[in-house]
Amino acid sequence: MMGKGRVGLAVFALLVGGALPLRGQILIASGQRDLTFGTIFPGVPEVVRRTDATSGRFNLRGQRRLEVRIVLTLPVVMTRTTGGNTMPIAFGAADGGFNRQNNVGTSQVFDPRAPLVTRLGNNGRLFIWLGGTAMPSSTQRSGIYQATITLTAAYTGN
Amino acid sequence: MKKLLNSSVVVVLLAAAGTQAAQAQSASISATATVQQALTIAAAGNLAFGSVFPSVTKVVAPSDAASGAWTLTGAANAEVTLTFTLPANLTDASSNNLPISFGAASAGHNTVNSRAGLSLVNPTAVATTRLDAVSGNLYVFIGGSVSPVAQPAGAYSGSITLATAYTGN
Repeated sequence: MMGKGRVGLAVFALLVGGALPLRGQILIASGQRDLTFGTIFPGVPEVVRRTDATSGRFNLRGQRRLEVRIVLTLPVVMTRTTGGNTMPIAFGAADGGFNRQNNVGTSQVFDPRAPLVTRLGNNGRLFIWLGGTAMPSSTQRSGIYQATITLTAAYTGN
Repeated sequence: MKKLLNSSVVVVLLAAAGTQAAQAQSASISATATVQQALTIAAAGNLAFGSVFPSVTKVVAPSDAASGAWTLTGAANAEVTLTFTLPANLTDASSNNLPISFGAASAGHNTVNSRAGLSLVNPTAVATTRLDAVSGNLYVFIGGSVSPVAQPAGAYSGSITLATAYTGN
């Protein structure tokens, strides 16, 4: 009687473990590189492409081949670090790139303004690159401007 | 019964691990930029032909003291464009015209405030140059010529506008 009970519970445990990712397969997101516009001039928009060495980059690591949903929270302005002034920043439909190897040259384009649903690679990795455009006005106050870009990722269950 | 309890604990732990893994994960990076100082421009002197006589063309070179002048200030060594908006005529209070023209060497610029040693430019085209590598200043001068014909005596004037912008280089 007790033996039957153990078998039943063991089967249940396997079902639960198979349906949900195990501890070693937790999805991990990390910011790897800032999106850097460098020194720019008032009145001259500065474009950083996703393939540029100064594009932003995130890494995702998790269970191989699982589907993930990625949302980027993008700023609309950068703020002068010493206070007050802001500068518009924009992102276009081709400013996002992703790849399962760490090779931006072969990355696929995506619109960072919309959620991205894709799968982690066989290595459990996904690399995401981000470009953008800083748009200083002709009277933009000099100084260092900064904004935060956040990537949020979760398994979809597929 | 004790064994049954132990197995139940295993199931609960597995379920908890799954819940943790399903949570959304976030990471942030920064977008950064360093903005150089804005470009400013100020008029520093009018182009003055003085008294002219009918049928006698009067020429003012950019190196002449009577040439028009502007002062630009911006980021040291930054490249800028110079775009002139030039009149075709000077006019008097009765709207009589006095033709004015500009040649290929009618304007010039210098990184010091001197009309000597100008780099000459054609004011009818967009010019590109750099601000001084230390001060970030640029001094721009413009001459021209007027060709009075048989026209009413009087004071004639017109506006010359210089627009400038960083190229980003």
